[in-house]
Amino acid sequence: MMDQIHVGNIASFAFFVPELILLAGSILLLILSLTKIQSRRWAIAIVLFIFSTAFFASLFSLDRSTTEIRLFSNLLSLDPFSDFARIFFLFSSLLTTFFFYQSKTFSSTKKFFETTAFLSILTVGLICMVSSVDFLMTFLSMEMVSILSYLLVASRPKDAFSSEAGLKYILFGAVATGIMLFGLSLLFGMAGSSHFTDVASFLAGELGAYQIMALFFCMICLLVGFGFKMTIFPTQMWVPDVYQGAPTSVTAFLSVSSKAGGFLVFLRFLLFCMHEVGNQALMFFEQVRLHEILVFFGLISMLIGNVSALRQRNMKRLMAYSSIAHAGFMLLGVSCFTQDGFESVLLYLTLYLFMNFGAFYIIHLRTIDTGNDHMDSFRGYGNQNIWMSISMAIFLLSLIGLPPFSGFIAKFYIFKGLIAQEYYTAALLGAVNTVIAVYYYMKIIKWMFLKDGNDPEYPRYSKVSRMFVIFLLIPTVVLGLYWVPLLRWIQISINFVYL
Amino acid sequence: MEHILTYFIFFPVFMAFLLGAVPPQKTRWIYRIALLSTIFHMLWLFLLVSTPEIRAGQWFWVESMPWIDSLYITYSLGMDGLSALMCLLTSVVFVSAVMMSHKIQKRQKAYFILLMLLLTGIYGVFLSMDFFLFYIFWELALIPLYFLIGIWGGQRREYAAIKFFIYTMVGSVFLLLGLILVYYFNPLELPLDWANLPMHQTWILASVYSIWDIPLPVILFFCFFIAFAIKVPIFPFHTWLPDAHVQAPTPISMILAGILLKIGMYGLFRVMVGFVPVVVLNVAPTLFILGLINLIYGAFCAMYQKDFKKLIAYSSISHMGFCIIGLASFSALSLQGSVMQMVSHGLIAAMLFLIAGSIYERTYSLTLSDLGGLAATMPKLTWMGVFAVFASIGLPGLFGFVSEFLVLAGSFMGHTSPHAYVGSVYFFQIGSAIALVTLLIGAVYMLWTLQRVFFGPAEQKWALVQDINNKEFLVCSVLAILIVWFGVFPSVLLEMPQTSILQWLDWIGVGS
Repeated sequence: MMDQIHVGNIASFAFFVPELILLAGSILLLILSLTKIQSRRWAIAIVLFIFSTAFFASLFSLDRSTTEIRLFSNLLSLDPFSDFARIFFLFSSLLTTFFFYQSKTFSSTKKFFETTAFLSILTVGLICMVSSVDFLMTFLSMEMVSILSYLLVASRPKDAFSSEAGLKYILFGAVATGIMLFGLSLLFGMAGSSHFTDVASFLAGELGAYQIMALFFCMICLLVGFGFKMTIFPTQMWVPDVYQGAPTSVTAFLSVSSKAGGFLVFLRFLLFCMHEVGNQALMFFEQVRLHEILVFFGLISMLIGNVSALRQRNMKRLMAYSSIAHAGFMLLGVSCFTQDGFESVLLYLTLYLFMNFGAFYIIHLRTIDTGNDHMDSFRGYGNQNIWMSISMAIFLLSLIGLPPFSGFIAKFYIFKGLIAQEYYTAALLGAVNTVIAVYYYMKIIKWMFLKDGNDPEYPRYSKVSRMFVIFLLIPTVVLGLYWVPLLRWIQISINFVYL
Repeated sequence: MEHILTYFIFFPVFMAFLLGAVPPQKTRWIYRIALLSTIFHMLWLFLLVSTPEIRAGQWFWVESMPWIDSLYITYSLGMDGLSALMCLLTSVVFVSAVMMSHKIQKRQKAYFILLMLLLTGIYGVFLSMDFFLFYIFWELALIPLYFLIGIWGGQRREYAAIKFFIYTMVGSVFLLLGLILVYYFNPLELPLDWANLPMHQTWILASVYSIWDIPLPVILFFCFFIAFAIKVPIFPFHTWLPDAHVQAPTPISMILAGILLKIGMYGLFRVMVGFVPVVVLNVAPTLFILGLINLIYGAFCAMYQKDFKKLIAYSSISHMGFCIIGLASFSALSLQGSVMQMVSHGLIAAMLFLIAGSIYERTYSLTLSDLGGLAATMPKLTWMGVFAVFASIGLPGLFGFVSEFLVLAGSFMGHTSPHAYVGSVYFFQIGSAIALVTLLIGAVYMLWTLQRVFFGPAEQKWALVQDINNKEFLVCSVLAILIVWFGVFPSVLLEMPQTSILQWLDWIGVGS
């Protein structure tokens, strides 16, 4: 067991530095958006400064891995797991700010400041959501994330697709939130408290048959709420439209951070229960058949994602379906309920961050070149810009899960976790899905290299764009060959539960 | 010298970078650099192979480094007689293929870079000693081939490329599942190294795990079998081959038929026989029947083809049947024949595809009914064609005969394993008799093809067709000389895989 330290409300702020930086930064950015600063260079410099300060501040807090600190009257927990989440989200937001900077939608400095202000608050929301140990706090920060996501998605008010996407997102989100809140209130009514500790000890106690049934229902409701963020079946319906309608930069952010938020908050709940009551939590999850539900949902998500992606011609829609399939894959990792399984999910998320951002970034560049996000825009790309198209091919091959790229390692560990839990059928179906996915990823590669392009123009990208792609490409390749340091860090961030 | 195999395997990657630096309009230089580097690579291989250790039958040039400790994955490379033999075949076929690539004009630089990457992948498969590393190289060889077929192929190249990729991917996924199963259940704290195989066999056989009530060794057998059977290809999994081989450009067809099919066989021997020899022995009759189906089905399909290249593709399927029969018979002779068939078919199929490609380049037709009477205008090519066809039929004195004779003789004598059931001797004898008859079908369709392509009345439309040039003649002659040489003196090659074969027999309990 780790040492637990409770910190008072005021003293908590000392452990809340990265978030405070982001909050202060967001206020600064909102003020700046009212001024008449026109220089985009200054704008990106200020934004990058804020996000990178927060990022480095979060790195400094890494050394106290033997204690678990409860902040704000036991609402948030600072432990290796939340450290992981913090660094993950801050890193992803850092990449996203750059992405926003390149986006046409946010080309005016005013809009850019506003959007990055939203992004910084959203990041705080994500971090709080994952570090929270009280359902009240979880719910509030989840709402914070959701509402700001709606704003980001609908940030092109004049574009019909974007508005439609925003509206759809809000409607689906509201329903999911409502269902989740209903489940939470049931849980609160039974456990008498919304704190994870009380909930966990309640789950570990003697439960009657009716209580089990009610809890099963609760779990489903919770899964609807979390699954909405994870983009898994049955709450995946909003994904294609929203991903297609949102600006590409926002889509990339949603597909990485928002999804990771869903997974991490769910893992946080599961891990916390195991942490508090050990095997009794596992027994409870077995009683409500959570394993089977997760495996089932995971497999269906994969199947829906992969099969629907087969006939997509719009790149963003295709990537949306592919992200559903990847979420299904990660859910299989969660369903293992073992240390290996959870580790594989975190590993998957981290590696997915690089390859997915990379793929979306190149789609984004290509959308700017050709003015549409149809797959046709990639026709003959290999002739026009060989390095960019090779990078895209590497990101896509990595998404397929081909060695020696990092996506292979992600899949490898998920399969290993499944086999360790003797979920052989799930492993086999996962393997079949991997093969289905080959078709549509290779289709993009086919359009890039096998078809001759018809537009003679030769897109040249700025040095910064190229550096950004290389920056994402290096981890995609290197982590596929040597992933031990990353895995060790992930093990540390989960290990404390099992100590 | 410690990392000599690493340098050897990654030398083509280095050359790929070098090629990348050459300006694309210097097409002759790109071709020369690629050709010289593959020739240099071949000579380097000769040096590596010509060590006295190869006779001792041990692993040599071994290098091993820890890689992922928690899973006991190591980066280990090594060469033994079998892999040396495969590497020699690879280098010969590759040099011929690169030499034949002088007509490639479309995106020539990218073509040679991809060829170099493919070479690294193939050598990696043959020379890696660690299972995980083997898998990575196995996949690595797949990616360049997709592009090589898809960009430089024929009319239906995109379809053929994606079909090839997806089929192979199915195999890879099964290989991956098998790999994870072995890694997960491995109780020994030892890497899954080819040198440690006997120890791994012991625990796999003794393991009490079962999946869907099927014992672990059987599951592993299925995973490995499907993975490699797709590549070989064995009967129900063969449908990618005619498309890929026909659509690929000539040099790539040569590589596909000459090397890629052998990667599948190599995997069957190294991994399938390596990890679960006893299961393989128990299903040997089934394997034998599959081999027979390959043989007969391939031959009949070949007979009914209207396209010369497709005919050769089906004859490849048919000839790979001998490899499987040789493997399934499990006697020293037949195993040797199986390995020899890999080499001989590699050379002969490469030569046949070369000839078909040369014909197509000059006549723009591969339809058998269209061709005919080429002998008048293309005497050199006709001689080479006649030679290749006879080699393919298995004319005594040529390499094809040696391997097929060994397989048939070996399977006729049958294996004397303690596991063999009563009557199995008759089974293998009858089977090999059927296989022998199939040789006749082979002779029929090959000779018929010869007649339809080269002979018959000289046609007016081919009057202006030129004979093969010196380069093609040189490559054909080298392949022909090798086929004759090893047909007459096979003993040089025969002793190379000897240790591996004795090991396999030892593993299945037959003993030497």
